[in-house]
Amino acid sequence: VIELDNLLKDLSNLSAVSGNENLVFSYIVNYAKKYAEEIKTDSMKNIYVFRKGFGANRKKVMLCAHMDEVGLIVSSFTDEGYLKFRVVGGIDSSVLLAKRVFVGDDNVKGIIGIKAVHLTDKEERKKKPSIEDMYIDIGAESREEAELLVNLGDFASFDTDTGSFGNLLKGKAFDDRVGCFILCNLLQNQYYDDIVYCFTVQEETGLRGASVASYNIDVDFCYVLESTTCFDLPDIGVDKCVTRIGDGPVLSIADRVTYADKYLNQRFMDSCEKFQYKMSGSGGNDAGAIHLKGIKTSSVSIPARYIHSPVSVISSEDVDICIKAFDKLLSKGVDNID
Amino acid sequence: MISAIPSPSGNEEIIKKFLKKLINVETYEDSIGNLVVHKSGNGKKVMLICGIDEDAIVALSQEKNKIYFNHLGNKKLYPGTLISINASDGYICAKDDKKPLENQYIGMVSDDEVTPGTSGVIFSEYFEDDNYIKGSRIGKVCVINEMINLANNYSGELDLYIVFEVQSLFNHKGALVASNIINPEFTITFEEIESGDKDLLLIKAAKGYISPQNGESFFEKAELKPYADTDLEITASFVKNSVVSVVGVPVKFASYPSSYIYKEVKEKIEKLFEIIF
Repeated sequence: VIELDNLLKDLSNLSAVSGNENLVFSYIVNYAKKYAEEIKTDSMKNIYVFRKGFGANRKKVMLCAHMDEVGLIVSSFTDEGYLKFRVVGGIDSSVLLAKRVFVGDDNVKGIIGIKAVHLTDKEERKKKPSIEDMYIDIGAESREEAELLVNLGDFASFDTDTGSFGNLLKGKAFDDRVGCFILCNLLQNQYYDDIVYCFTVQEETGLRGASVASYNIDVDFCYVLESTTCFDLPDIGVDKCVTRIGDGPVLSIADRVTYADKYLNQRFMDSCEKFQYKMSGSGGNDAGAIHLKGIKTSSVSIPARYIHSPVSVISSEDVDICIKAFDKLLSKGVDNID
Repeated sequence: MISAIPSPSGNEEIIKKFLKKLINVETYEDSIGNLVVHKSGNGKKVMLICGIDEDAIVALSQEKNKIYFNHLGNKKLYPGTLISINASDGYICAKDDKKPLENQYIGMVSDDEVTPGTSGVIFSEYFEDDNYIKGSRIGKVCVINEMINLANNYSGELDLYIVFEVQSLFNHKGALVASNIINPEFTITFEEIESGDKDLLLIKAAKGYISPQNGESFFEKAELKPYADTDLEITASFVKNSVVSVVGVPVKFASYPSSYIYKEVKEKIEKLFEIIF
């Protein structure tokens, strides 16, 4: 069993559903101030960590990862003390049943429930469970008791401990805490270019943090560090698996919102011992907002199975290769070709 | 000629190289790759923009001579459509005959390796007779020709940016970036519209600044109002007085592999440029 880095474990275990990234925000600011020349934030609570470069012909480079994760938000209470909820970000309802969650800032424990299968009729069993029919059970016996523990609008995140199994890692928020982890590793060093490490908010609800960040920061190039879909499961054909765990970091060609900058892709490939292409044109990330500002932008992702669910799975080897590749590229300078 | 040059959306390098040879004045490329000519002047800042790209078939993975792909653009890909990728030919195939538009792949004639990210285009032969011109993105090609002439000859008062737009078929990404960087007071753009018409150009226009900051479609956000007139003078006047004008070029079979325009439409485009500029 491989050893799990404490920084990654801390980051993934923190709750930061889109719109409520405070815990990850504080953790990263506290971590980065040991290394940064300057740290700025904005009204959205994006973080900008500045590190000056040593290169003679240095450029301004942004490395970007989002702090938020998908989750739930409490929308009402039942008279019996259960919580009704809505999803925040893209979550398939079928992954929610019987899952443990933490609700609110006090981390109230809850279980997601629905009418028992024994009570459903044939037609109901054929359908996918509906979010509207689910509730969070926090063990309260009345609306009044539930309202003492939880507020309307509280966020709920999955109660999943980050850890290792076999040769892989599991955790609830590798999307995109693994990107934050890579940035936290890189910002310890001084590189050729001036680098802004940008930790964004609200990616899962429409690239909102990155939309603001791209107007606050004037840079030449941007790499978005992400996690991405991976369906390398039995019976999935080569045209459907998208990426494979263990085959290295993933370069996007074109997704739903961005055509990746070819020059930046090539520069990353030149520095990376092993990489793969994302074999799908679906999905999208902060690059979709950033490149519209006129910044050359590309995405490098870590393949993650079961993304946008209570637990996702990654390979630490993919992460290590990615960090080494960026370390090599940034040491030379992104646009410094000898 | 321009119609025959492959220009898949997102990989417009070949056509840009060709355009640079035809344009006799200084050009530059912005961050997304739009090819821009700036005719400096003391008048209003105007952006004239038209997409130079066509539907792209982007290779993602390969199993022998089967290529799985991503399609950028609006054309219909029925099984049997001829695709040219990496100077090789292939045909659109569907795994299930009963669902011809789902689970498609390209069956290549050869099983040479195709690098992921390589772009192909839908094959479309150029043809011209007394009435019609046929070819790939043929409506836009007529506009691009006029933009080249304008780039080479304009010496008026406008502070004119002539933008040969990339990735126009990818939610107008090129236009979004260009308008962000240039920040024009007036924008004139062209799009192909499925129509058998030849007597007029359809005009849509918006009064009010379009901010691309929210990432929404350049055109969707504009609350465009349809307008049409057979009198080109009125059309030109309308274009000149609108903050954003979208001139629709009527094209037959715009969403099919080969599209046609009437020669009269081409002449009207030339005339419209003459009046506006």
